[in-house]
Amino acid sequence: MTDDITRDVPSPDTPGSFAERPRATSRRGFLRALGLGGTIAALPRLVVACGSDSVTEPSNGIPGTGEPLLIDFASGDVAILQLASVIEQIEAEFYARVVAAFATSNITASEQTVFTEIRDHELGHRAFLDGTLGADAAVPATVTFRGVNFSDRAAVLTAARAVEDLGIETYNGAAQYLTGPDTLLAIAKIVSVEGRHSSTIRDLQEPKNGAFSPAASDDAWRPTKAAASIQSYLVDKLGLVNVPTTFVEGPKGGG
Amino acid sequence: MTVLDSLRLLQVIEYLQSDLYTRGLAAVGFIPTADSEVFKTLSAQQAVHISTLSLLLTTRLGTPVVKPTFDFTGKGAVPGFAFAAGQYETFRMLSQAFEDLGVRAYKGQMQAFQADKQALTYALAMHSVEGRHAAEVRRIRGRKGWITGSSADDLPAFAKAIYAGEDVATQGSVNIGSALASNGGVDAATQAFDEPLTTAQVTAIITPFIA
Repeated sequence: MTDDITRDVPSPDTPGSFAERPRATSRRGFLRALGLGGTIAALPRLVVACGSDSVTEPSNGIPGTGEPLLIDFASGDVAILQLASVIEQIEAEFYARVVAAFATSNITASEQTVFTEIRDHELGHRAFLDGTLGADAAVPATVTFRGVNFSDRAAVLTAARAVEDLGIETYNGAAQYLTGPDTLLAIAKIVSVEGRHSSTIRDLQEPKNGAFSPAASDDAWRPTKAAASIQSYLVDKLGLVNVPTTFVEGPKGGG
Repeated sequence: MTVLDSLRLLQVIEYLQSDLYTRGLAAVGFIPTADSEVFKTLSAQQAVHISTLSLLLTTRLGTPVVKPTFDFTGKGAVPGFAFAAGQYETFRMLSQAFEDLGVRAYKGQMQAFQADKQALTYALAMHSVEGRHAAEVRRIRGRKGWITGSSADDLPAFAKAIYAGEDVATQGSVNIGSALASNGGVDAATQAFDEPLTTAQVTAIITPFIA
């Protein structure tokens, strides 16, 4: 499984970059602290696709052509953290590729600083979710960004905006299924920073014209709706099972 | 805090933000043309937040907040501020302070909404927008869109309380600062997660601004 590792970005699995990564015992302790107690479900043993790409050749595989990547909502808060983990893997990998392409791109020096910082934040989010889920509940994904020209500023901004907004829509909708107060707070801590990111990306695209915040409320999408969009960034076949049938809409509806 | 208490607290903050923008936009020539779309957007969206919170309150048989009268000098914390010529930078500082406050105040009430999924989802949908607003006002001031450590930047001293406790680099059991050792380190770790403020912290911050 190499596809979530990009050239110059240490993966959380790289020894050294994550030397203090908590293992199963402390993870359970933390999940207990999150109020999840003994609810860590034994997830189906997953076989994760390992495409033909190498570390130096990021995947641009066809979405949905890989192995199943299942998230079972019967596992409770763990499932929401797994969905979050998939989002953060997509975001971290996206910005890692943006940064890796700086040498050949027309992104300005000051914008490079912004993109590098956003990448670092997404790596931080990914590290949090990796460490919190632990190895047993990890959902390593093979991400893909077909058709994105990472050397082209306009294309990168358009793609970044879509990725950030998808994260916000997913978190805002999925949070209602959380039962642990600390898990809810953790997700809230992340999603406002995604709002800051989206605003920043939009401001780079369209400075000072109101694009930074297209509406008074952001969207909140039910997990199945979010998954349909998330799938376009995954070679894996994303499958959500046991998703609650009820969903409470946000102010904009349509979730 | 009940759900109603939480909604009312957030509504006071929305009124604080909204009144700042309404008065700034009403002062002819105060906001430079280049920034006017930003503040028109902020003003319009805070007004919607106020009405959305009123709707949530009334459908729960609660009473919306009566708009307070605000004193934007903060009873001396922002001496002489009166939306006057030459005070535009102070206005933008107040905007940054109140938007970052909004992000943290909403976050601090999320757990109170957890059993009320509609209130929670509505609050989350406005909370991420507060994050958008905060980033934009920070950026038009030439700042990063995110908060580093517990830095109040160049804001007046009252704002220190708005950023207190933002310098968290360990989330749950995960030391994010260590995980990012070669990718931004502790600074990036603190930027990547916004922290909540308690009701007591928020109340203490906004009280001087209520006349």
